Amino acid sequence: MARYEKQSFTNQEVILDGNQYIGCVFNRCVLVFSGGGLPTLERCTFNSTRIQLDGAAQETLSYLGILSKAGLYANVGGVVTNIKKGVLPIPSRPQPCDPRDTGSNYRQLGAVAGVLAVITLVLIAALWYGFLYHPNQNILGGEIQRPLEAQIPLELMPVLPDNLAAAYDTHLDNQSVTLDSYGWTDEENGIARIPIEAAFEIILEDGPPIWPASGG
Amino acid sequence: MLTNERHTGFSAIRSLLILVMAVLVIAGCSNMEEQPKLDEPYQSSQTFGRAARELLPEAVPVGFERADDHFYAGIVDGEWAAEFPIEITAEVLAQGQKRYNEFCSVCHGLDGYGEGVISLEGFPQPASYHTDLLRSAPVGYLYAVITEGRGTMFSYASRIEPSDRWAIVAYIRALQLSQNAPVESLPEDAQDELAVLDQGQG
Repeated sequence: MARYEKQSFTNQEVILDGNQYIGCVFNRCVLVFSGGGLPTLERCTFNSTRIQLDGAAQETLSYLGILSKAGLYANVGGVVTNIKKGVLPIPSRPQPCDPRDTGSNYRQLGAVAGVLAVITLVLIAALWYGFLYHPNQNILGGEIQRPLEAQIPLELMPVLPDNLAAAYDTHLDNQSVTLDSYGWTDEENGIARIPIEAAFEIILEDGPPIWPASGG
Repeated sequence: MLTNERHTGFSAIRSLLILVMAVLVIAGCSNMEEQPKLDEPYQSSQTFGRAARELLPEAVPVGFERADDHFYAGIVDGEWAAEFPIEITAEVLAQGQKRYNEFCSVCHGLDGYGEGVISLEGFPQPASYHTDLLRSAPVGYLYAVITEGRGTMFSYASRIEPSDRWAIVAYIRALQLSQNAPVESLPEDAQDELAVLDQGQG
C-alpha cells in the first residue's frame, strides 16, 4: 500500500487499488480501480480526470447492469443514488463463522432444544407412568407380573376385614378401654387392672414394680 | 426489514438462552461448597489422591461414644441390668408412652397384649408383656431387645434414642403394672374404684 502526499499526476493512468492519496492533484489522468483494497482519497483535486473500473470492480459494475436490465432498475438506481450521496453501501458481510450472521442457527438451536425437551418430558412421563402408577406391571406388554400374589399361596393370604379402617378404630378403642379403666385380671387371686395413669402414679410414688423371677 | 426481523429474533432467542443459563447457574448454587470435607488427602497414591481412609481400630464417630454399658447396652457386670440407669419421672413415663404408641403399639398393641393392628392383617402376634416371663424379665433385657431386636422384631437402635428406649421400658413396666396390680398394694382410692366395680356387677 503506497502513500502519496501532495503529489501531482498528469496525463497518466493511476492504479488506485489499496493506495493513499492525500492532497494530490490529478490532471487529465485515468483513475483505474481493479477491485483490490479500497483506496483513500483525501483533499485531492481532479482536473479533466476520468475513472475506469477493471477486473473484479468491472465485474461488479457489469453485475449491476445485469440486475438493472433484469428488472431491478429501481434497486440499482437506489444503490447509485446512495453512492452519489456519499452513503457507503452495506459493509461487507461478516465472516460466515460469526453466529450473528446466521440467525437461522439460533432457530435451529431452539428447535433442537425444543425437540430434546419434548423427548425428555415424554421419557419422564413414561417412567412416571411405569414405575409409579403401575409398579407391578410390565408396561412394554407381555404378561402382567404381580410378584407378591404369585409367590404367596392364596390359602395363606390373610382374610382382611371388609372395612379395615373401621376395624382398626374398633380394635384401638377396645384397647384404650382396657388401658384406661378399672377391672379384674384375676379376681380370685386379687389381681386387678388399673388405668395407666394410676400405674404412673404408683410408679412415681414407689418406683418401678419388681416381680419375682418365677410365678406371678 | 429483513435485518430488523433478524435482530428481533436474535434478542428474543438470546433472552431465552440467557434466562436458561441463569436458571442453570442458580440451580447450581448450593451449600455443597461449604460442607465439611477433606481439602487434602491424608496420603497420596501414585494415581489418585484419596480422602476416604479406613478408620483406625477403636475409632469412634463423633457423638457415638458408648462407654456406659448400663445406659447403652442394658448390662451391669455382665448381667442384664435390674435397675434403670435414669430416674423415672412423670416426663420420662409420658415420653415412653409417646414413643411406645408411635413405634411399639402397632405390633404389641396399645395395652401390651401383643394384639396390635398388624394382627388384623395376618401378621404373627408378638409376645404379650403380661406374662410371668416378661414381667420378671430385667429391664436391661427389655432395653436390649429394643436395641438389638428379637425374632421377627428388628433393631430400633437407629430409630429410637437410648434415652427414649429406657423411657419405653419404663412405660412397659407401667403397662405391666396396670394389667397386673395386686389389690392389697393399691392405694385406697383405687381399691374403692374396684369395690364400686364389684357392687355394680353384684
